[in-house]
Amino acid sequence: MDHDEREHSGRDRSDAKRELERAQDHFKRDLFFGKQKKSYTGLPLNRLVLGPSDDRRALPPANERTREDSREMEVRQAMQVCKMSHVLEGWQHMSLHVQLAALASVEREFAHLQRRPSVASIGYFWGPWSCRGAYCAEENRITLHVRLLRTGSPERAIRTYLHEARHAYQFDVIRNPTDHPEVSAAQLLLWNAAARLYPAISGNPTFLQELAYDLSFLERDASSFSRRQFKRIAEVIGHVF
Amino acid sequence: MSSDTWFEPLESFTAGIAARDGCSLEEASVVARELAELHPQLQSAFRKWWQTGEVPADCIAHGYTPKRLIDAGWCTTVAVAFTWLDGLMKRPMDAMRLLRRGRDYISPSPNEWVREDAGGR
Repeated sequence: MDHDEREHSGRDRSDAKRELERAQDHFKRDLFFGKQKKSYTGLPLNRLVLGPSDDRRALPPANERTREDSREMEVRQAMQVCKMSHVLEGWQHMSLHVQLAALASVEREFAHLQRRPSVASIGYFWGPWSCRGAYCAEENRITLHVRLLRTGSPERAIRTYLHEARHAYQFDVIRNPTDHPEVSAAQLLLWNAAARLYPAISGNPTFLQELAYDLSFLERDASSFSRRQFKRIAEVIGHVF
Repeated sequence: MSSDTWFEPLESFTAGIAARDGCSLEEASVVARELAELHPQLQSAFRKWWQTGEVPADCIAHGYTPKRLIDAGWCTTVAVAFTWLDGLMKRPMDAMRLLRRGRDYISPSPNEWVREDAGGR
């Protein structure tokens, strides 16, 4: 790395730092004026509300949907993100809200291909780095740790988004199985059982409790989905990452 | 039924953890059972913390100290941090994977997703 590159990279870092500080200032001010909500983790969050047109009525009726191999469906989902790669270009120069808007664009398309309503909002939270993302089914919301958005490439944010989007899909499949002909009866039974067995985790989990959570079926499924999809996406638009 | 651990009988160990961590006996029992099998290299540091209340800064497993684990939000108490250090000593691959990947939070818990009549279409 020559002198100019070093200087440039140092400038990028200090720009990112300033951006983060500005965002924190805005955040504190919003909190002061009561514009922020507390997330379910007890952490404050900021969020971008998606348009109201993404509810279940926007989806084709279940009986008009063709049964499709779930692998093919996944490939289509990944390809859709690839087609939208332009929204991720220049990620590190985007403000937090533009990053959320980019993720919201991906979510609208992605949710449609997953045959679920898109989440109502995408947001970020501040807090301990141990918690990277969250999916709230009650409020139909995905939130990501702010560090995922503010550090470098979109890779980690996308991977975490894909993980949470899979939870949104799992929830929709379990709650509305008739809307998901792509899911076999056996898989549905398995997911129902896995949801019932999902380990409760406290705010102060022991190592073995955390391990049990990590090994739970729904978490493993979401992690492997995120890994698979990200690999497909990175193969096509590796330059973004 | 009473059972001894390397440190104290399980009942008094559980009660001690409940008092120190301010949690229920049921929650403390989970912690105590894990600590009952604490890695021998961590036992003297744990004993010292138990007696003095001093958080051991020199007790390190794969770069992690109790303080670092608590600061990063993996746990909130020193007793539970020792279960993590134990995991780092005994199952370093699993522990490092967890620490690298981070966790997510789902609300409500998937246990509540399933409707009573669920199971088919």
